[in-house]
Amino acid sequence: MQLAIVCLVTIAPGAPVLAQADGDIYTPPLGALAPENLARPRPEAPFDLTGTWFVDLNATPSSWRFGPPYPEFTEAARVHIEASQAATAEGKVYRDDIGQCWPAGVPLIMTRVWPMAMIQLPTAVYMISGFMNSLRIIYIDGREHTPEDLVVRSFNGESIGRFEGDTLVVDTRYFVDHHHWMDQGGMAIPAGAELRIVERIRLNDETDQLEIEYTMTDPEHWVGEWKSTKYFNRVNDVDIAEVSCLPNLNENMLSTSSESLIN
Amino acid sequence: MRKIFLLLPIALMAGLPLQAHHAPAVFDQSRTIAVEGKVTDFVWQNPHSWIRLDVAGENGEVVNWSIEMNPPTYLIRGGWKSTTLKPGDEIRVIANPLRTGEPSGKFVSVRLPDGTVLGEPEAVLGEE
Repeated sequence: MQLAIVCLVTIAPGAPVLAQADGDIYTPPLGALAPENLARPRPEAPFDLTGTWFVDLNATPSSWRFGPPYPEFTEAARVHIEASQAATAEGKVYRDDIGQCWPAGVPLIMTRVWPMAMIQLPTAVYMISGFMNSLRIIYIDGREHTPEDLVVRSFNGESIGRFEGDTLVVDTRYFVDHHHWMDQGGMAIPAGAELRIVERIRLNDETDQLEIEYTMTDPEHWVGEWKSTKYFNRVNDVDIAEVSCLPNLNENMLSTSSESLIN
Repeated sequence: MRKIFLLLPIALMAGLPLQAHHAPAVFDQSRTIAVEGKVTDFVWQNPHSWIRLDVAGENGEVVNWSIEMNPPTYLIRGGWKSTTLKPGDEIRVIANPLRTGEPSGKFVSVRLPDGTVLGEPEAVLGEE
């Protein structure tokens, strides 16, 4: 830790005055794209995820979902699930936050039925979803999670990965606690601040298929571990493109302001 | 002249992959309607393209409809171009309507002014 004293002397009326810092200042890890970090000697990664991937929907058309089976839900989750089921029974939609331009977030962004570009470097795996260009970074340079009182919570969380044999084990935490859902379509399962997702990622050399085994915990919303395994295929004839939730989008998508929405 | 036609129910499509940025359940995908009118706008954009068209209502009033489509990546695979539609084109659109009856639908197919019918490929990749 570094000790830094910041003192700014103002010479003009109205200029900002920085408070003096008195104590430890957090030193962030070397950037994942810093040449020094990239050049550090490391064991060779067992696979390279670089490519464009698309969730495998061959099992069922609903393979993008992470349940059923579902875990036992807490009352905090059941309130929303029951409300969404009641809405569905009436032909309505409960809390369609993604339609209102809130990010899908992990894990749904992984299976959003849009291609996802992955670029693997020695220090990180950059994942960019074709859906709203959602960026997810898995740091594999040996760093630890950011201290909880410093991290900026997000919809994709903070992902730290380590190779264990032929598997990349990714621990993702520090999610936001609002407008973030684990499912849709009559199963409004909220994702909370305590959500933690461990992914075991393998690349099947024979089928060139990506397998991700999810183990998800969120004691606020369900009991124990919620497990699901997803498969992804390479798609070599498509690139992701610029996709934004622009103001003119929902102005022309009457479905996002329909009377059938319950927000 | 009424330009909105109810069609017979088609195959249940509720299980199709989610590709929209919004919940597809707002559309009644168990039935289709046909709307005829004049294109006011055709927008070639991600994550959705869309068609706006003026449709004559029951009492002669004109209602502007919004037809929501897949992104261009998939439309291209079905023969679409950004120039396929232009304002003023008289078209007939088949769509899954909003459940509420609001003037909007999820695109199924269109009959162009020259009689060509274009659909929309399913928004799935890597299934070959």
